[in-house]
Amino acid sequence: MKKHISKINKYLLEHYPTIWNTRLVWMLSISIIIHLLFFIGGLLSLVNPASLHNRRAIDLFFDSGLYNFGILISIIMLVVWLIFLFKNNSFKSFYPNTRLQIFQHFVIYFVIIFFSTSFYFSFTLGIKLYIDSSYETETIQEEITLANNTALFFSHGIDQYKIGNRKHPRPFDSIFCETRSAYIKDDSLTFKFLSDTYQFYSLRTEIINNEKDNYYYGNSTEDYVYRKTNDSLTTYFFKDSIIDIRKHIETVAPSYYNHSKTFYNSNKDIYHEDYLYTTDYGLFDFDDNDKRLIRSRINNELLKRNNPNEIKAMLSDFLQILNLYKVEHNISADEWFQLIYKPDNFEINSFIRSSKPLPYERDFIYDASERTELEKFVAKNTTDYYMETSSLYNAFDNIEEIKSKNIFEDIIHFYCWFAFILASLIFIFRITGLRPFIFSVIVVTVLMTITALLATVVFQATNDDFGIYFIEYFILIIGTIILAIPIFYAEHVKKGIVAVCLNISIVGFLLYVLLIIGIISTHQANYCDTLSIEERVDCFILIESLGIYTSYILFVLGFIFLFFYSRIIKNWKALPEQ
Amino acid sequence: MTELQSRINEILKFFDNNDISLGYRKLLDCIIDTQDLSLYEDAIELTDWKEKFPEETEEIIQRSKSILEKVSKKDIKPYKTDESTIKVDVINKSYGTNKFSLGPISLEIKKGDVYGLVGENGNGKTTLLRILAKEISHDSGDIVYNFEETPNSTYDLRTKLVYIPQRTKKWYGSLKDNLKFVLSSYGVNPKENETRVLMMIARMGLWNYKHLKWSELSSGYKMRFELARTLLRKPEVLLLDEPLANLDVLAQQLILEDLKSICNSINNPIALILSSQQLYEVEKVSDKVIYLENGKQNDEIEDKKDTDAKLIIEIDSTVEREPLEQSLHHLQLDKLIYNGGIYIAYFDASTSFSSVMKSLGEHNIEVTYIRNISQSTRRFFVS
Repeated sequence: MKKHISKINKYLLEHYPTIWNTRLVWMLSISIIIHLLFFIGGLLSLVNPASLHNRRAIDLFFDSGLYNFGILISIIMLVVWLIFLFKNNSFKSFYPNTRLQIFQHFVIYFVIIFFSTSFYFSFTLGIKLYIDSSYETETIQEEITLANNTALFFSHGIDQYKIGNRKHPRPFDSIFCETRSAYIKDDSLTFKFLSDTYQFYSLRTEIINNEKDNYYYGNSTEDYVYRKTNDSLTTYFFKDSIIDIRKHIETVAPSYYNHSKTFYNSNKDIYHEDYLYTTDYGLFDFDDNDKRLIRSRINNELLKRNNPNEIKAMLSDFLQILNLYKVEHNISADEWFQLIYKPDNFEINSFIRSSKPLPYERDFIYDASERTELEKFVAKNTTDYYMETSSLYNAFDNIEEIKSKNIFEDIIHFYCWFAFILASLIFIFRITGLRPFIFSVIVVTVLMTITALLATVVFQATNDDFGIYFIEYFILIIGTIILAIPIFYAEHVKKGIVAVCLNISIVGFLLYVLLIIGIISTHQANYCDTLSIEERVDCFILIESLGIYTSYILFVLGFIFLFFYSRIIKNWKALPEQ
Repeated sequence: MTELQSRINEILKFFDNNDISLGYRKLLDCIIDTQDLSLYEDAIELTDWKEKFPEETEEIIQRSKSILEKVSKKDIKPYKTDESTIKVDVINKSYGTNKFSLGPISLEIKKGDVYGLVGENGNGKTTLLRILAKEISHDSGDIVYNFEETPNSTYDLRTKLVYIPQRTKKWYGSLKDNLKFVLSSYGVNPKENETRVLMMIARMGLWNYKHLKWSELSSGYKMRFELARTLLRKPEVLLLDEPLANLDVLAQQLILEDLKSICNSINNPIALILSSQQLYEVEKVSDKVIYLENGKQNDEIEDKKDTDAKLIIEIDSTVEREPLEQSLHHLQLDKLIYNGGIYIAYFDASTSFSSVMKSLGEHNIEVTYIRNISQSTRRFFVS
């Protein structure tokens, strides 16, 4: 092995001195091995379906603390690498170096740092690959459909089974059920079940064009009960008149007929995204109204068919899914069927827990005398059966999220910029040495302090706009001077000072470009503020228009800059001291 | 007789006189001049064998002669140019008012020449070398560099100006890898890299030290490795600041002889400027000597060489002043100066050095060291 390594080193040293010096091959080899281990780790981390029971399994790298381990490995790798890197420096020794070779050094530093720190991607890719290969999209959709169809029999609490949830048949699809006693107007048209009172209202709508009209800002009970936004139009729904629904209902008691909530909304469904939900009526569950209509219809049809075999088979299939995902439960299909099958009007009078009862749980329940009639009813009829359906929900959610997630989408920016900045710092340290590096840090700190002090004074003395402009242009002038010295005045200024400017230019050039974009955008934003609301919609602001592409543009620009700047670096190195 | 033939004859004489070490070094110099890698490999193999069996002198000589035979068949074209590699024209350097200033200094050096830069501490030797290496700027005057290939940038020029400071930096990693890194950085054919490095190691007498770590080397060998690294860069100019510092007398002589020999290559001569306080040793190998005094170039050396013909002798003796003075009095002694450690005796030009030694012997004067410094810059130091 040692002989093999020596042989490769000899070859690299003789053929590719830059690669030998930077230990690119070894660092990449070690990185790839570690990436592979992380990838295998990711691949195995979700083998047990129970690991999908918690939310955001995609973030397992961070949530499991694995990132600490990754950071530790990265630090060890980079420290060892730096020790080897600093053994030789052809640039410092005045060995022939072309511009391209100088640029190559930087690129190699970047590649090494990126590969030595980005274990997140391998681990998450492992996770994604495992989920993609283990869970077929069609199967998952079938399981979701079955879970949603069975969800009306979950019997977790009473809320979803109250009459107010019913959305099928007509007129339940277009009415609003008021349950707050303070807002119930006419006692004659109310319905009571134990301590609960219900009153039904028809709805009227108002449509607002968001681009032309002002938004509707409500804060009273007369406000809309929910709203629906479609492109530029928002439809507001208001309570209109009380209606009598006696002829439409079999019973006012909680019933499986009333269940209309979809257990799991697949990300394959898109139509519910049109909604923006009011926060005024947080007590009421108005989300996914259209979905509720459909779900209520499906549930009602199932119950109307009243086919015990069909229901039993459905329960049995669902329990199999629970078993498949290792979701904890203690109920059999028969026991469950016995609890829910009330063919007369499918009233619910047995409840199933949504989690395993804790030992001595009953000791912690508050005083029974403080309970409402409804709560007493629920408490009395809650069985010892349980199904942790939220775990199944999380499992579906995790699978769908992992399948649809582009793992490189956002976090790649962080890793790229981290590698870029660290590579820049190592690069300037290698080029100009320790002393200019330290002086550069000191100069930047002093300049930042001066700028901050100036900003404080200016903002106190003038208005915000002037203050922003003043600081932006102040930094721009300082930045321009720093950039200009190594390019135009290197031979007239002390080499040490040029070195400091060179260092700051290399690390700060992209911030300089960002500052220019910022200044342009500030001017544009201020101009846009002078326009009318209609004109403002099309007002162009550079930084907003670039969005996330700013990161990509600056990143590419950084490399281009360093390629061309390598000539300045060479010129600086050749300067004599004064 | 060609230059090569004359050198081969010289080497043969060394071997005939059993001066193996010197002959072998000269042989390696000739082999390096051939630039023939097969001969390099022969030399490397022989060096390896020689280090393993140092007692086998007969065979070493025989095998050396055999390689020399091959060398003699090569055609080495001597380097010929009359142009100066560096021409310095009245340069000055000042470190602010009332501080040290160097210059005016003018000099010219050609390839193959060795320039000795002498002077006491703080007289500007290092400053001058660093100015020549373009490490520091000068205030006025011109320096013209004339290389085989015209540098296309200042950085390119500095890759050709090889300067070794007095305190060399530590090497990290394998010594051989450091040497190979130089060649690969200079774009030497990968197939030749190992051979050329081993040849240089052999030439600099580092064969048995190539596997050591930097920290395990003595100062002398560190300097030799530094020179090896430098010479691999095929410099046209070599600027050495106090290369003899921290070396014992033998090592000093050896390294100077090597430098002189290497710089005097038939086809790749090097212009060498070195600073030192070891006057005797430097003067021995230098073609020219610059004496710096308070930053000024002392031209007395050149001027006085022919005109001032006084006999000046440095004597280290334990005897009292009186008996010494009596023993020399009849030899037209002008003055006798005792500086606490040694005596400096000034005689009339008609007095010969041998008559002084004869008189000291006749008067039974115990002498531990005696040297004629009439033509040496040493006389400026001791006067």
